[in-house]
Amino acid sequence: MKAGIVVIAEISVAGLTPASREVISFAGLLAESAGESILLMVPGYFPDIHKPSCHSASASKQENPPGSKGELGGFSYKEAEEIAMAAGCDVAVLAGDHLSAYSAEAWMDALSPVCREINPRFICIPHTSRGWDYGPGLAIRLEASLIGAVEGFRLDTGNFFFKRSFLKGQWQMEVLPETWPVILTILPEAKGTEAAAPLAAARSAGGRGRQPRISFLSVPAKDLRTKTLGRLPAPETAYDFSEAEVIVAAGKGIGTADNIDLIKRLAGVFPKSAVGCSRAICDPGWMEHRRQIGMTGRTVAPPLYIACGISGAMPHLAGMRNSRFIIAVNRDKNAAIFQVAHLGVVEDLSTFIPAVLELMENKKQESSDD
Amino acid sequence: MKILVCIKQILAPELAELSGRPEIKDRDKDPFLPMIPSPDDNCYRLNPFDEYAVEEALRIRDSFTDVTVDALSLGPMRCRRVLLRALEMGVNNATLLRLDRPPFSLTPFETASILAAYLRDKIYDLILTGVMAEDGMNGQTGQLVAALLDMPCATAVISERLLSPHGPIYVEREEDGGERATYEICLPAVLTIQSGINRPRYPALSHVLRARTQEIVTLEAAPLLPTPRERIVNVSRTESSTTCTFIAGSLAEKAGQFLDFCRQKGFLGP
Repeated sequence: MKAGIVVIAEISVAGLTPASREVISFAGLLAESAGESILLMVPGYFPDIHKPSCHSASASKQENPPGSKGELGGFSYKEAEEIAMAAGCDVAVLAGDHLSAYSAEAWMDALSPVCREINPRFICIPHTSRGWDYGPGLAIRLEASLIGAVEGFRLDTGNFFFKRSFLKGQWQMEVLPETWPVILTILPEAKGTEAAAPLAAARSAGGRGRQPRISFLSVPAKDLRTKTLGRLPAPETAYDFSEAEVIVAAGKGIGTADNIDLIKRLAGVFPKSAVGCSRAICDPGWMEHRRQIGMTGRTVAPPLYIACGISGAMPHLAGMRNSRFIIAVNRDKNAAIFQVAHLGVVEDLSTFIPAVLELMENKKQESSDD
Repeated sequence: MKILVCIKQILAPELAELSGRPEIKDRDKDPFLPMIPSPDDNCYRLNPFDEYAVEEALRIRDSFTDVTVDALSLGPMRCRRVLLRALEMGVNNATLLRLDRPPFSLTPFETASILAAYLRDKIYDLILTGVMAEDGMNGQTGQLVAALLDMPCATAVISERLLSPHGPIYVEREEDGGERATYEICLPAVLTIQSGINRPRYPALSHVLRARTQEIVTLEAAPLLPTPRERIVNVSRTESSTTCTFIAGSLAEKAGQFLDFCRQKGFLGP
């Protein structure tokens, strides 16, 4: 197995996760610029591939994987093939009993010997709650450089510059790796990963028109200091946003808890509306957690999203950027929310919303006077 | 039992009017060249995520006997302010690893390497920190410190339970969409604390007064700097969007245009 670019994928019952597919696209662009091939690594529980009796210290190759259907709770050989076909590049399946439930320690243990052996230049990981969990530790184990929440890259005189945002998206920095490999956690919606041409770049750069090859590595379980106990659903039943045509969402910029009422009154102007919020509003208890929109909350895409006092930091954008129309109201004209908004209002909410409500009231009176 | 909380003093964007477009072309020539126009000391505050970590450490201390909570920060002398805040909240000891570098000039690897080098001969059962710094938004330092010290780590911890000071510790970590994964982790361990895990206390007056008499140990961090593995080369304002149309005019005009837009698109009903 050789590759200049390794992509570490996350899989669910539906196959490759959308974030993983985006990273494959990103890797495709990187592959074109760097002239490297791509290998997709898929850690997981593949019961008909994995040999539980294997206890050797390093991952051992298995030549002839059985083709039988998978058992409940794991992935079958056929599913591994489907993942490879969808990715369009060579795939290395890392199969282990202990990889059925995610833990950073188990993933780092499984991935680091294989990555060391392949010795790629780039290791691309989705910037998900898992990717940024195990990515840094993997970087230390591989003595790699590490760049998180990457939005894009630029090749200049042989150097790769990776772009990331900070200060709530208002500023950007370019980071230059000085050690190889470099581990990149790639933000969903990173530039150049448009869903319109999914994985095409990866196909041309990694697959080169031939059938993707799948190899299987059986990863023996080790005694770990992290024991996975199970999963819990999101704590409260999430609020149903699906019926709403308009979502009015509040962020930290509303200032005080008293202004929640203004947000609700603004939502009341629209016949089919719902009220949501960013994490900063739930943490002090100003609104229930089930109304939270963003990476650790709900993902919504209503016809109209009105962001009130929301700065537009990446975790919130992840949950609402696919809304059809976005109106942002914020006092700070530099707020990152305006980067994704179609219509921007630079105003203080405590004066802007009352002005809107007053106009609506006047309109009503005019029509009743008629 | 000994608990350490790593805290950061962050630049609060809403407190600082940051303008201009400084660019660093070659940090070898002047590694201390400020990247961002240096705001005054009042533009800095304790990273809110770290405040949750301090609170969580104090709550663990309250549940057992013989627990000490130490706070550690890295940065220039102005970072003593956040250590003072931690003392006011109730931590036992505070240490500053002093390094005079402008904001955003250290990579998470450099930060974590300094912290790990300082911690190598210290014994802590539990190291807590915020899930990320609100300004840099890297969310890597905790995991890097854990890996450098060869400790297990859980990130985005939204709930923790310790039955005995010797561990193990039971944690729930928050994943995408709010789902939670639960783990049992051996001590010593590193936890990065997600916001909302608790309500950080407001310091009592007696603690505020006591904190003024407490010493903040200051050590030079420059000798602990590692060879960098990545370099921040260009810093600039995010290009402003070309697709957003800003509504101009008086307050009433803006409100009117806002409603016109909503009406034209059919959101206000028939």
